[in-house]
Amino acid sequence: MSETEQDQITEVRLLARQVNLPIPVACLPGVQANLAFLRTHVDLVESVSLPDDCTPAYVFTP
Amino acid sequence: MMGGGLTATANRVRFGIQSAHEIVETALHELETRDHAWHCTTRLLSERALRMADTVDARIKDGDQVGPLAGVPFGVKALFDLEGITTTAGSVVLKGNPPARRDAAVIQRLIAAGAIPVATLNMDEFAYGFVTENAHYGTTLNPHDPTRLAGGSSGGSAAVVATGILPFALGSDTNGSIRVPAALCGVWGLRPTQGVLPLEGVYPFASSLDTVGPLAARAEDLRCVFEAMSGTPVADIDDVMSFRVARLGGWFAHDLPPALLEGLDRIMAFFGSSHEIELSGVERARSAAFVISASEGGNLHLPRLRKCPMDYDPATRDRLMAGALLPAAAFIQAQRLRNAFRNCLRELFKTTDILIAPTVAGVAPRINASTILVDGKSVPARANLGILTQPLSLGGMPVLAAPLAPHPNDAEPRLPVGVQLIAAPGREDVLFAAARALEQAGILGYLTLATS
Repeated sequence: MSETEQDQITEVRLLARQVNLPIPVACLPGVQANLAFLRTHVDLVESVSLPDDCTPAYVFTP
Repeated sequence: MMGGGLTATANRVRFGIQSAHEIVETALHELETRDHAWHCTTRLLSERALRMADTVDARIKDGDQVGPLAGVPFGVKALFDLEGITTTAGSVVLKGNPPARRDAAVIQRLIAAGAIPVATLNMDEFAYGFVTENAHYGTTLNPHDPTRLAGGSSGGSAAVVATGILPFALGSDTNGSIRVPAALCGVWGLRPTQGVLPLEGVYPFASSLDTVGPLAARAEDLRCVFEAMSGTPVADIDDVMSFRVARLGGWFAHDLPPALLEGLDRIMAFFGSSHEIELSGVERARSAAFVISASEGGNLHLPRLRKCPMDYDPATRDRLMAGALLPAAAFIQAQRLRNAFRNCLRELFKTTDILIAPTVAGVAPRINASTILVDGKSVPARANLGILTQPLSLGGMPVLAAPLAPHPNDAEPRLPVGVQLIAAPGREDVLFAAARALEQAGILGYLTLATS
């Protein structure tokens, strides 16, 4: 495993600790790959500048 | 078995020409003896279905009104509650849950209309995929070519309709899970306006985007089932030629095979329109749907992922875990972008009645090569078959997935490809009117196996 790959796995472990999610060692590469994929979508979502009055589209009918 | 469509079947039952018992018994027998070829079903509801059929027959004998779907058998994606059965959602993770206390709300409505659930149907685990390759329950094969995928996640629902054994089935659509398998299996499917059908008794995936809807062999059947599910008749619109129709370009026009291009041309020619619209922000809309689905799905399963991660389908588990790690900022931004995209579409529908787009940019992929080409790159089918459906989920408008009819000049039968008809929120009536007209004109519609 390269140093970069090792760093990415370490980051997944740290993020998982934040949400109290123990990730089995066998799953780490798959989770890391999926997280990297999701981040390409996060980057696109965050690339758009929205006006402050554009609120989140939560669905809640009291 | 359903010659003449489900209205004809129901009429045979209502007028005493054929018993509901006989129809349901035949459907169960067909599923039991033929489904090994496609693997659409995960469980037959034989005892319950025959008991319900007998009740329908007894009521008819007593002169009761039994509803427009009298004795019509249907299948149910394995994430709908059925009384007395533990809902699996295509997983083994929920097997310790108690049996459902009542049927899902839309199933109750269909039963009130006389229809009879006969089987639960295969799906991607927890509806997280577009392929119906399930580590626990197997892969559903495409009835038109069993070496190919049926699509997903409502793959069992689309495939069972394509076999001709059941005239309709229920699915769910978060990012395209009704529309993608409908396209690949050559059947009709509806993602209704977000919120128009109740989700009580439906196991969630990403509740911000979840919808349920029917899949059927004909446009008119789809409409009948939707009316029963919504409890409201769909208004008739005769003047379809006055519809303002536009084709979606840009994102929706990449990598299309000749059969799809030719079909889209025929639809536009039918309406006498050459109007093409390029929606702005489609790629970001798709990404927002990805982020919302991953975050909500990850959060929903987090307690179980902590306890029993290895019980999940590996393909689902790794995706859910990654989703659970996304920061709140990304999810909230995606939900804000959703509002912006929806507002943009609302503006568009002030001057347009129907948008037309392909559903999947090609035919069903082969099972042993579960990748597809997007912009020349090979990407996993599981996550990417919905590239043309997923952005539209974000807007919440109704989308009808329709199979293109084979071209009269085709030398040999070709595999199904499909299109999406999109209308303003609440305008399912516009979609059904257009679908009926295009079906009658021979532009939309594909044969099921039993009628081939």
